Amino acid sequence: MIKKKVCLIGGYAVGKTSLVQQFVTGIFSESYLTTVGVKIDKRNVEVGDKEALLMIWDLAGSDQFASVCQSHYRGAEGFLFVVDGTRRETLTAAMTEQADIAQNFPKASSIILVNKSDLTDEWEVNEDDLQPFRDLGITVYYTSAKSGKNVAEAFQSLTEDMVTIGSEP
Amino acid sequence: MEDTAEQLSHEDEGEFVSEGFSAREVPSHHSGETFSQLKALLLGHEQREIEALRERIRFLEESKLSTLSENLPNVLPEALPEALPEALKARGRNEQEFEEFVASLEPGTISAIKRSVNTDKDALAGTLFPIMGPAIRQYVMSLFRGFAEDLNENIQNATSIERIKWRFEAKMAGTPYSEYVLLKTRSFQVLELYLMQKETGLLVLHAAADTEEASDEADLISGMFTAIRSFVKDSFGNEESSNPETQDEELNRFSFGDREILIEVGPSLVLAAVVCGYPTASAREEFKTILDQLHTDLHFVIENFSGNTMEAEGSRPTLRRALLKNTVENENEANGGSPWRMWVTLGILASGIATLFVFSFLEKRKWNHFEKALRSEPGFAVTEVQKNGWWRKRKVLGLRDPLAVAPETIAQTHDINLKKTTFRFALMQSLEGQFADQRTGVSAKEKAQLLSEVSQLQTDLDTIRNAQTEDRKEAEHRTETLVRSLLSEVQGLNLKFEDESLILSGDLASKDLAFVKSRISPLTGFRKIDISGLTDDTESQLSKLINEIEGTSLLFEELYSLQEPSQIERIIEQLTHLEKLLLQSNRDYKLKILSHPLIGTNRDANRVIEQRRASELFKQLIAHDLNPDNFALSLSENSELTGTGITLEISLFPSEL
Repeated sequence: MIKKKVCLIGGYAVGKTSLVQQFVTGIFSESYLTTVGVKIDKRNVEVGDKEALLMIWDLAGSDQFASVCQSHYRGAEGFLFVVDGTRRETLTAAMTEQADIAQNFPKASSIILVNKSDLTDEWEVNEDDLQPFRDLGITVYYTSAKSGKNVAEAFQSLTEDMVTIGSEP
Repeated sequence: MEDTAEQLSHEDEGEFVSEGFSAREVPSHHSGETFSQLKALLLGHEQREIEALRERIRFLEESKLSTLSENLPNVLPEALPEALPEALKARGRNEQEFEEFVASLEPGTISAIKRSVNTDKDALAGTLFPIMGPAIRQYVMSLFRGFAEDLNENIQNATSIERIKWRFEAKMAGTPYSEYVLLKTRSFQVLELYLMQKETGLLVLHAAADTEEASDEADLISGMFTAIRSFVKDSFGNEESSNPETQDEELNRFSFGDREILIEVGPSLVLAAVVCGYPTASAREEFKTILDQLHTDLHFVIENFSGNTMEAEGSRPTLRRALLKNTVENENEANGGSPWRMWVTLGILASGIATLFVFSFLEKRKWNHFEKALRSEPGFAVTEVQKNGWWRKRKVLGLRDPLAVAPETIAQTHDINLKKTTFRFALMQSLEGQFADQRTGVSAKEKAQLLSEVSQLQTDLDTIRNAQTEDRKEAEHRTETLVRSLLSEVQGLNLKFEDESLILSGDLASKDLAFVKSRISPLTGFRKIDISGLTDDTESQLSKLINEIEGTSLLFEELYSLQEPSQIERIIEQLTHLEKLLLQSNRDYKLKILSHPLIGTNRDANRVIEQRRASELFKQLIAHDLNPDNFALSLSENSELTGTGITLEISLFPSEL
């Protein structure tokens, strides 16, 4: 079994914890509980004939605290930047974070999750906004922690990417 | 022949195999030749080219080697720096080759270090200081912490009740106390071990003391350990500090309930041990040693860790060595199983208690017999038996007739230890027959003896009394003779002895009385003398005489004629006698002639008459040689005494003797 450390990064209330919960347990809760510090979950993901154990570090939203405990990022091979599609400002925050991560963890895999895709009426983020990520080669997923749309797929994609990079000499 | 043909056939097969074909694909020897011809026709050109290339390669390799060996001294200094890193990388890809390479470098490296030390110690020391300095300081601090903890424990070990209990238990177990304390205070068990990659917190290996209790959540716990470590370090550490000690500070332990989590941090691995109990400092050292060993074993795995923990499984036995356990039970078992000393000691204790119980029972029975005997003994009244302390000292209180048997005697007959027994009996007289008879017999004898003694005393007393009487009479006689001789001149003095007192009586003249008193006074120190019966005759005469004079009233018939003219003579006679008496006692007198009012209201005229009457009397008195200075004339003016003529009043000087 291959173990990989994955960090979820994003502003407050973008749905990081809900995404993890949906991915790990398949449950979505409407109630919002802010994450204090860090919450760690795990789930096995199959990649070809290999099995990977994702250690998912759900970090508290960076807006709530002056700075996320940077030491939590150490050793992470995958980052999921979560954006709230109904709040455009969370995209800006994700861009900043992504730039930092890319600088400090150049070998790490990254994916952008534009969450709350079920709330189409309140949608604020368009394709042009996401183009900078795509230009950097970062895959973008429109996810819904509520419906589970693209959640597993996003984690699967990130895992495959990490395993592929990890198996390179 | 058939065998030879078969052998040849097999050899042929071997040739064909070497050409890359299966024997089953070759039907016969002839067809082989045909195939070779066919191959030469089809691939002859290429085969020739291949052969030419092979020749070329062989030639080049040989020429290169010869050239290299010829030019090596010239080429090596330039080529080696470029080629060496690549060569090392190439070696590093193969673990076995790399180990060989490292082993080959080892002697040279050691020699180089030795040479550096011999040449210039400061250079090496300066290089190593940034690494060794903090490490040494941390080690020393760790030693001091351990020392302080041990000191605290030693202080605690000194006096508490629990430690006294441990001493007893150590005796029971036949273990030295110090060792037992060590076991007790260091009793612990490592329940779980988490070996994590330092950077990621990914669980590399997990081991549990009870494999059934191995946690499924070990990965999560491992992650949380890392998160907690990071949190503590970020919150309380000082990364900006220039002090390398504070930079390297790590969360190395925390506790929850009776469990303590020890964290050993290495360069790339972290070992977290969940311990139940009190881990020793040596356990901590053991963790460090095992972590070092794991670093060595897993060096290549962690260096290029892909997340595949199966690569680290080989080190599981090493990790499991850290599942330390240190309990008293283990130690007891190691010492030979059941604590026979405890049973022997308990047996001795039980025997002792049983012996004590029997002894106590016998002692009590013996005492009861004695007490019963004492209570039934005549002349005893036991009121209380006091017991003092568990050592059975007794005090018997009560009453005892002196004629009764001594309590000690009764105690000895009952084998009672008199050292532990005290008797306090108050005196009493028993009315029991034997004591009454004894007491009566004693009384009669004593009475007779007493009577005899009293009779003798009486006789002696009578003798003494008689002698005393004689002596007294003799003394009285002598005294009387002496007094009489002393007072022979005094007239009217009477002497007599009454109750050993000399009683003097009689009416004496003042002069005689004074004489008697002066003579008697020295004798009062030797004998009781009563002079209350002595009276002064002069005083009585004076008193009588004054009464007579002052009782006289001189009444007048006419203005100046006395009714009884003889009164004048009698008064003169009385005054003359008075002067004589007063002369004896050296005294003098004053006579006041009081002329009382005449009857009638004409006081002025009467006063003249009254004055003249007094003067006439005065003249008559001084005419008989009476001292005129002793007389005074006065008008009384007392109306109640009107018509009483003249009365006289006498005053003596001094008034008494």
